[in-house]
Amino acid sequence: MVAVNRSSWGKAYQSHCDEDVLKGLLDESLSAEMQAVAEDHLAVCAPCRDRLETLAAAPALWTETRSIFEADESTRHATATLYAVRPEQIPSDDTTTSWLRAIVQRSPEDDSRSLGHIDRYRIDSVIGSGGMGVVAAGFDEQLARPVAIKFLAPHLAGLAPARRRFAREARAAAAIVHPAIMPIYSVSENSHPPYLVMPLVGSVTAGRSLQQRIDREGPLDLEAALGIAAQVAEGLAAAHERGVVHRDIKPGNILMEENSPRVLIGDFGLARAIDDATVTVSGMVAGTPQYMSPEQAAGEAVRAASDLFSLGSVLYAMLTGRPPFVADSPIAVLRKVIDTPVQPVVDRVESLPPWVDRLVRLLMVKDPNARIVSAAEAAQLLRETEAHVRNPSRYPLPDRLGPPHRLKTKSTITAMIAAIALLMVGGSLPLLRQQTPQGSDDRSTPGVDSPETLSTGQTSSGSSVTAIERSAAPIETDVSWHWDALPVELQQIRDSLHELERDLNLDTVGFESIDDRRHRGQPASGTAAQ
Amino acid sequence: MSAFPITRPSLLLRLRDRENHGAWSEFLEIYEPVIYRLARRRQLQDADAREIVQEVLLRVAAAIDRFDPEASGSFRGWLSQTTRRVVVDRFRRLAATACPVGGQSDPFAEVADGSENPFEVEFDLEHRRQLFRCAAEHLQRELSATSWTAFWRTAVQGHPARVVASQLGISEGAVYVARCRVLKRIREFIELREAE
Repeated sequence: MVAVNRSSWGKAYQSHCDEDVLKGLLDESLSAEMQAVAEDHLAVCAPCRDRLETLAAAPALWTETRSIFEADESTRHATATLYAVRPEQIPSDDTTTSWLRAIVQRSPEDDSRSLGHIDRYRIDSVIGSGGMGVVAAGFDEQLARPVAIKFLAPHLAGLAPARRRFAREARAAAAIVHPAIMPIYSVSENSHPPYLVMPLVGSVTAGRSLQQRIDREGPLDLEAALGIAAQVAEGLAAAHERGVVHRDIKPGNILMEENSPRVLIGDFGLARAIDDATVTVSGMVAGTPQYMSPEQAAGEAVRAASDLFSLGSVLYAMLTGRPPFVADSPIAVLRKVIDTPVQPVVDRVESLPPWVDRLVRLLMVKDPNARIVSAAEAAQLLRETEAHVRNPSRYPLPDRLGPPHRLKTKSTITAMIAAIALLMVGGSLPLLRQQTPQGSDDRSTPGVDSPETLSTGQTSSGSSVTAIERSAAPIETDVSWHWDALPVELQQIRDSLHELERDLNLDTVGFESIDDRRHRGQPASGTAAQ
Repeated sequence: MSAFPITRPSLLLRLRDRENHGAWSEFLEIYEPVIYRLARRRQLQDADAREIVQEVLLRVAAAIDRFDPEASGSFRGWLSQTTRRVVVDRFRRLAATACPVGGQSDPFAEVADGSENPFEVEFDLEHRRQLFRCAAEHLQRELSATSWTAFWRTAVQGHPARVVASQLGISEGAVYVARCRVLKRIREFIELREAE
């Protein structure tokens, strides 16, 4: 936080910007209000602009930057100004194609459209690349079908451990047979470099991934979004059953078949290997962490529940047209993923019914133990909501997505009362947190859902929670107790506390005990050194 | 002290771990284009330049364990010498197949060295340019399109902030802030990578 309060700012505005204010502008750490005032001042004050520029970088670097980019702009990097084009779509360099050319065999009968052949596959063009290797579009001449071929990068291909890993994971991915998971046609472990062959999904014109569809069409309609999310959840359920966690569920990894509502989850298993590349030694995040789960963002262990959070983020992006957490730097995104409550989808798209927000929240609970229990359960819920949207009179909304009986208005005051009651009765929030995992484990066993079992199983926390329920909602008529809604409620309380904290501008130290302590271990330097 | 920045050992140490894809892609993103461009600038054809890239990378992979991160002289210096050697070899082979020559001392080394700068200086310059390009690529992905455009149109193309502000529908002050934020991020990116 910048140590300038609003009253002293008034003075600064008259004269010149405080150095702290300028630094705050650069670090994006000013409040929106302060920033607006500072921007107004900069518009009219040349000396402050100069100071800001020098703080950003020495004058020599401004000159150097300009001369390098100017020279590039006149040649290859002209594309950089077309900011409307997504950077991923700008061909990064011909170096990607270059090593592919070096690998393939060209024979005289190859026409100019193809790069050459590898075994029985004709290689046509590069459709993607990453740290691990390159994906090319090609054609299986023996079976006469289009294919996508993923090659392990050559610098890794020569190395036995990398090859073994590639093969192991290709096999793991191939073992999961499910309509929503990209099938593996074949794996060639012993070629140079190793590669695996998959169906070629989508087309250049129609696009290949959900990301491209969102980019092109904006938000999807509710029914389509739920249908896609349900398919992804079903695919994840199949994978999780075999102990495979995807780790990188994002719209770019969800491939869309042309003229069909069917989707395929791509990059299965391989995501694990690539994961090493996401957080570099310096702690910088190389990829876009927008769909990461909080535990992943904090560098903690990734588990099946992490995929479910990411699924929630994907659903969010489908409904609103943009990822749930957006900031100007990956680190800022990470921070938001970890501790900013997600803005309700209904706030962004007002036409959505309120239960959609409750659905998204079941998936996007920050605490993995409080999230919806399994991908299978998420899939079922998503299918039920999809049916409900299609035919509301025939298929009622699933109970757990009905309006909550408590905290319906989610006013800060109610949340405060609830929180205070919680603190009084339950002892402290951290205590309750420790109890929730146990609770969620219990829930995974069928039949343990009933409140009776819970209250006998967990005397202290069970009764304390019940007490809050009552204290917060004394006129509740529904006696059956919505245990499923509890994680969401807890999250809402936590979120409200965060909002309160921000509103009151409290020092973070004071509130650390509630939720921040757990997230201390943000990706620190050296996390991915091995 | 060498005339060129000493390579910090961290990337080198990380490259020793072949499974550290992060380190390898970080390395390739910078050096692949550098080597390629230097080769192309010596009138080598695309295919030759690519093979030179492969050859140099293979040598890096083979030598990375033997390279002493504590030894004087930077890894970049070693890399630039290796690139030069591979380029010279390529010239020699091309010459041998095209028109056999004999008796000469080493005309190819002269070809390899540019007319203006020694190879190593040129390598360093190209490396620096590539750092800026990578910074641009990374930051365009990470920053909002508005911030990047505000920076590009004012700081690179030299358009007045007032004009760019109205094009982008933001305040003039916001344009100043955005362009400074972008340049600060470029500086940080380059400082971090330059150190390696």
